[in-house]
Amino acid sequence: MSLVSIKRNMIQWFRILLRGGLLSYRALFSWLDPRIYITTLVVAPVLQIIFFSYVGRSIGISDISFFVAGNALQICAMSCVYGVIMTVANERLEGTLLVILGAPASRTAIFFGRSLPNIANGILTVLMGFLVGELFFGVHMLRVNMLGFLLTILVTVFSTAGVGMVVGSIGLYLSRELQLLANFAFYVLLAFCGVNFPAAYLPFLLQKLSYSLPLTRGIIAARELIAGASLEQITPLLIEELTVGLFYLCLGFVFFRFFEFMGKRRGTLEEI
Amino acid sequence: MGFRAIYSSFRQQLLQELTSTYYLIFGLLEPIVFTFVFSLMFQWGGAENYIPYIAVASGIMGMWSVTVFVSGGNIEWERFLGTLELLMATPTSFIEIMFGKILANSALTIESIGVSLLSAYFFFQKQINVAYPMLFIIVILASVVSLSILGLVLVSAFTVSRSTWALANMLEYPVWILTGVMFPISQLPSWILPFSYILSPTWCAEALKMSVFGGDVSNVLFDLLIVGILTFFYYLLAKILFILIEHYVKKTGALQLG
Repeated sequence: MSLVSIKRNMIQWFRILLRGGLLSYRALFSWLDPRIYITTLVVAPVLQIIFFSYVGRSIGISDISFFVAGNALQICAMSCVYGVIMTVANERLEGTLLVILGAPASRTAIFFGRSLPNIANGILTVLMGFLVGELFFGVHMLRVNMLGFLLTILVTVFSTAGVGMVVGSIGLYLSRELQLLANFAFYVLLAFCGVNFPAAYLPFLLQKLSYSLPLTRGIIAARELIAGASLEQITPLLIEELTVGLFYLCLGFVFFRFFEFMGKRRGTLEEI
Repeated sequence: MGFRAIYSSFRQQLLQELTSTYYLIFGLLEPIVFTFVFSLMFQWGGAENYIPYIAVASGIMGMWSVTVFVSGGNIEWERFLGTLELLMATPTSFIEIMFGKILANSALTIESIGVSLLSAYFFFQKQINVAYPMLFIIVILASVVSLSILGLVLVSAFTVSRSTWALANMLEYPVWILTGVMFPISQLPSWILPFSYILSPTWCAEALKMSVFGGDVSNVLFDLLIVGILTFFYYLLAKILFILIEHYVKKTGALQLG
């Protein structure tokens, strides 16, 4: 293969990755209707933080930063899990899934392209969540180690998107249950990742589950940063979080290829 | 009022919703998750005898979620299938058809409270005792009717909006916050409290909690009276809105587009 054709293939790969991902992302929000975007990814997550912070205060937990950090990071699941899954669901609904999977385009470009815009959006949502914490509850984020803080957000959002890719890939095979699966994944992260109470309060087996999920270590890292930890102190947590995320992303890609094969074999890609 | 139309719509919706994904999510999954999360939060906070409180509160939250999301989903689905215009054009009143549908959704939400109570028992092996069982049932039925009528007001907005999901997303948490279902509304800023008081779920939640934990019966009856008055105003508001909407969509022809 000549150098020119390798270069052409790479450009093609990136084009599918970026343009394909961006187009599917725009379609997710009904062709960039700002009202749906704002209510889904701004208003609802902000209200989630406010709600749980009030509940936390009512049960006598004075450290509101615990709830702000937990919920600000968990709300990235709205974009990274729900968003990724609904991208697949919407393509099925609009009848474009069959066309995409019928094309000879690179599967890795299609796969990762679907998650990139949602990851970028997840980062924005988390930043906004912490801003809400600052404005409404006086949780000062500017005093924390800024590099550690940004790395924590980046790694946590990336690893959470892995769950979205796993469940989204299952959606290639299961159609009617996709909405249920998306909500189920969102609630699993809310209930078992130590978002609103320390994971140590979970029963033993659920604690094991908690540490096999993304988010858990990222949330601990964010809380430690708020408590004054340095980047060095949270680095092991971030490495573990990244490892968990990579595992889910790889698993998601295996599922993507497997369920694409199964969907084609059983003719279920067009089912609504 | 056409009771036959309401009954037919109610029956059809009930059968349809029993197989609906939205109902499974908001009526079944959500109360279980919230009962679990809040129970561990309260345990961490060192609260005592919190399980009945959480079970009832999670159930009420589930009731509201079903009202918002299932009613919104119904309108969106009718629009997607192209049947929304037919419902509007039929000689039977649109408000009666929609009331039957929402009543069915709300009736199904009774199960949310049952699911919360059962999951509290399942997770934490604690018996839930209801202080006034008869009053508890009356309050639940009053809540179903009140939420149905409030749902009618919401449906009027869903019908003309292209952003049904946007509206539904926006309405879930604010009502949970405003009605103080999970924490005392006295924590909220004082300027927000009038909004809490004009929402019937605030009074339904208070009456339900009192009927479970006991207290002065006259307070529960007072809450029920307020629920009744507010529900009557919601009904008048829904009637006016439906007349305006019918006029608007016939004039603009934009029902399918929203």
